[in-house]
Amino acid sequence: MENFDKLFEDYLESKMDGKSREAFEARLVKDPAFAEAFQLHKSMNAFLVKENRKGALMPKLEALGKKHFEDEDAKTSNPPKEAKVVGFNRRRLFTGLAIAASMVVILFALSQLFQQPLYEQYAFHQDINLIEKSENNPKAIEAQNFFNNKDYQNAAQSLTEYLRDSPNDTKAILARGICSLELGQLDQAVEIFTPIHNGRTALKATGTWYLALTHLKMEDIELAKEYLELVPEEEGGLYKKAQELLGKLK
Amino acid sequence: MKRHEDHRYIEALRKGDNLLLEELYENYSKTVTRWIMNNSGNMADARDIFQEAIIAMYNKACDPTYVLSCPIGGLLVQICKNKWIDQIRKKSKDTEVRNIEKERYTNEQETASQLEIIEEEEIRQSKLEKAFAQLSDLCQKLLKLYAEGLKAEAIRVKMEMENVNTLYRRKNACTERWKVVYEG
Repeated sequence: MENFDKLFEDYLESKMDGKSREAFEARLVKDPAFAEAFQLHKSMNAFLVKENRKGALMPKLEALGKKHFEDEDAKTSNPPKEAKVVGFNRRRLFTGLAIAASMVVILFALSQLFQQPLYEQYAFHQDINLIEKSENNPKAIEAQNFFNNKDYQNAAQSLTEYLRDSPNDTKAILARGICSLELGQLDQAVEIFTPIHNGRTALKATGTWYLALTHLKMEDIELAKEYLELVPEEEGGLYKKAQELLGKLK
Repeated sequence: MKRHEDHRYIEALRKGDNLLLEELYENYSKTVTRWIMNNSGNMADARDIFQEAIIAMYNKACDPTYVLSCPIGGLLVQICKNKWIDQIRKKSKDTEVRNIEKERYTNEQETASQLEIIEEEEIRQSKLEKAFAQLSDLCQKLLKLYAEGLKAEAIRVKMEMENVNTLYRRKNACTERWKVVYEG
């Protein structure tokens, strides 16, 4: 199939002049293969948007489902049957969510959901590699797996245990802080990130960045801005990200 | 296509507007529950089906060019009905299926047309999901980062790639691979 991706993006991002746009829309009507390719392109984009947001949507739907259907359960004389496994292609997704959707997580998600879009836009955590230092340490393997799978509850516990034996592993300390941040334990996150920010390790600037993110999540915008300004220019990508976020906060 | 005033619910799904999302539950959960309970289902079935229907709408809402051209209530309820009929078909006797099948269709032409769009999108999303799962971790991560709207340089740093040209080449290769598996 001919590659139209650039053309499609130009259309979707309104980068075409009026004449090109009209020609594009006329071709959609006349050329079914072109229209089909455009539809697939849009569906691929939609899929990726959905993938990035599903962690936010699903707990909300679970909570609304409980509120609007389980209340009704109590009023019916027939005892409810077990909720059956929801279908088909979403089985995997729902299973994961069912595990994650304890009430605590739901309430946390509800309080955070959509309220801090900026935080969500920037809170992407790189995978950690703890086993390059501790190859045969089962705690390191376990903590790494939980963290990289974004299971921050279990990762927090495993990292705490791992750090008892390896208290100087800064990557693990940082990851433990990220768990606190993600779990909404924000004071604890500040306590963990501050020594990294004040220290002299290679992760110093990352510590500063995460302090900024923590204060952003606390809605203490002024302090978040102060920390963002402290991310040094030589940090390259992190500096650019900090400046970009700073721009949005001003 | 003429935009219906209920298109605001599609915008709400796109933006994650909790209040309007809850309004959909407030307004239509009881109708769906009653219908499913009258057709061999229970409350848990109704809850699951309703959630699946919201996700089906959300699939299409993520397409920024999608425009809702009919009342959302009729559409949402019809999506729920069709999903429940599909489940009944899998486990029930022929007579029961025949009785319920007539509920699959709506006389509202615009609603029928929107229903078709949403059901087609659901099939596409399901195929895309399966194909996406077959991509390498690197491809999955890279494509998701692009979808976040980050600048190429920011993605390059996150992906630890040497330069932006490598990133572009990799992105194109990943997209092509995804299409090939999808069309496979």
